[in-house]
Amino acid sequence: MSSTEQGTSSAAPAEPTTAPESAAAPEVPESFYYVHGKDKVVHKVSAGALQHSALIHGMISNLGYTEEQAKANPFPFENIDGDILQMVVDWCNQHKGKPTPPEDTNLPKQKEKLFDLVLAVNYLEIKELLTYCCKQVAMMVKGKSPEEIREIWMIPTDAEDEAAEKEAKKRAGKEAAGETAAAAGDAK
Amino acid sequence: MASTLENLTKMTENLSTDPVYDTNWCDMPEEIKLECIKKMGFQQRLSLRCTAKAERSLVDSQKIKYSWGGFHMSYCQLNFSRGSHILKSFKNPIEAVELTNYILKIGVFEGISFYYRDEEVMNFTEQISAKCIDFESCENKTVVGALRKLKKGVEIIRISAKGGYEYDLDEILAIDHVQHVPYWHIEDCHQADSLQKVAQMWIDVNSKIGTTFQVSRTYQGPRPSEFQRIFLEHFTDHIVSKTGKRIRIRTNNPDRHILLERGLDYNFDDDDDDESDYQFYRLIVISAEMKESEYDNKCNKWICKIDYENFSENDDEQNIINGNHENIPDGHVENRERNPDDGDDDDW
Repeated sequence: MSSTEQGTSSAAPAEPTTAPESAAAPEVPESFYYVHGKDKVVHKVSAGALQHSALIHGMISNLGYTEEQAKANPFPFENIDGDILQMVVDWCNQHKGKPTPPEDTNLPKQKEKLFDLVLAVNYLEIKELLTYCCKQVAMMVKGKSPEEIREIWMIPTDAEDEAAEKEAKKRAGKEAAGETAAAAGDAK
Repeated sequence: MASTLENLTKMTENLSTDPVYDTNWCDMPEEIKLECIKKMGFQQRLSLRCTAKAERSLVDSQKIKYSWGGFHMSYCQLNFSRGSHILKSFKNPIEAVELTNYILKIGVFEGISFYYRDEEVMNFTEQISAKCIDFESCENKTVVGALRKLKKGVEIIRISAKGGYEYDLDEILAIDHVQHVPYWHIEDCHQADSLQKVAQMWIDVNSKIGTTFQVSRTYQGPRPSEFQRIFLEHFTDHIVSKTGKRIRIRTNNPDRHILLERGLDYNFDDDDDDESDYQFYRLIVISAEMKESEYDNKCNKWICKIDYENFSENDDEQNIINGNHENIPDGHVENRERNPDDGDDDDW
């Protein structure tokens, strides 16, 4: 999807989901921004909550546009699943303006979701949440043998790695040979 | 505002061209894997590094911090403790050496202690990063081997010679870390020439003021008079002052002196029973300007560093001698009346 298409799709965003906000009502009216993930569902997030994300915070500080304009142009994160982005938004809202606790037990336990969350959080540069997520990933293999870890995380053995590498080289060689033959045919 | 929107479009364009993530450990970027590894304990790291070559090199690239680590190695069994214990038996010494060196390679220790009884497994190949290093009844080979592998920054070296171990002091004193460590001691020292050799080394390397070496001796070791005799004989030409509890010598640096202090005030005679008592010595580099009135008479303050099991910093010397280790306020010790027996001792 090109940037223009994204701009178009976000120009008519779906009704923003309202994320819970735990912080007390601010004295001055707070500005809000909008983000959407792969599923195009737009999330309304306060500037305070978005401060957790160094990436978005950096973008906002470089922009300075009105709430209406922000609503019309949500930040598109096409590489993040909708449910993962929802988790991130929820976490940012829950921890808005609060010191982060040493542990966070609300992180997903399923491997796929956790890895997706880790990658999204790393991408959005949310340092504290990344720390929790990495801790959770580390906990997944606590007390596990190397074989069990290999199975849980689908880590190929060295032999499998070597075989895959050989296969890739073989394929690359064939493709190169095919391209050479095609180029020779074109030349004729 | 048009330019603002253009900027946003450019920014989001860059973001959206990134691929959709896979959700497998193997697809995670290296920096994320390293962050996760940092959160793992030692056992988890050991297991992960056994899964594949790539994971091994990642795990091995990460240091792990320990406030304290103890290596108790005996007959190919390593008991590595750091809060919790790892007890591992090995089929052969090579495996034991490999694991020990692996832990030393990835570990950054505040304190580390060695208790090695089996010389076969003693082969340090990795650098040791520790501020404080302890040796408990280790062979000379272990002590020398570990001291030579120390990285810079060691502040305390504590050697316990319990069991009658003797060390090649010339070899140990030639090690750079030993020459520059601010504090070190030999507990239950069986080598009466230790004080003289350390003082000579300090003179040779012009050690800093405050550098300290302590020894304790037991009834199994040489008589206290032997420690003193050797020291005095060697430094006859250097003596600045000599009192009952202290000998002060000059060094080659006119700004620095070396003070030898004896801890506890026993009256030694030929009675064998008295020979069984503890005796402590402290050797310290002092300023040549230091006056005798500035000497610290509270020997318990330094004795407890070498024998913290039996002595407390707050023990009064007379209580220690009487075997009554009651904690009393510092001021009481400081202001107590001088014991007539504290005076000059014919031994020195």
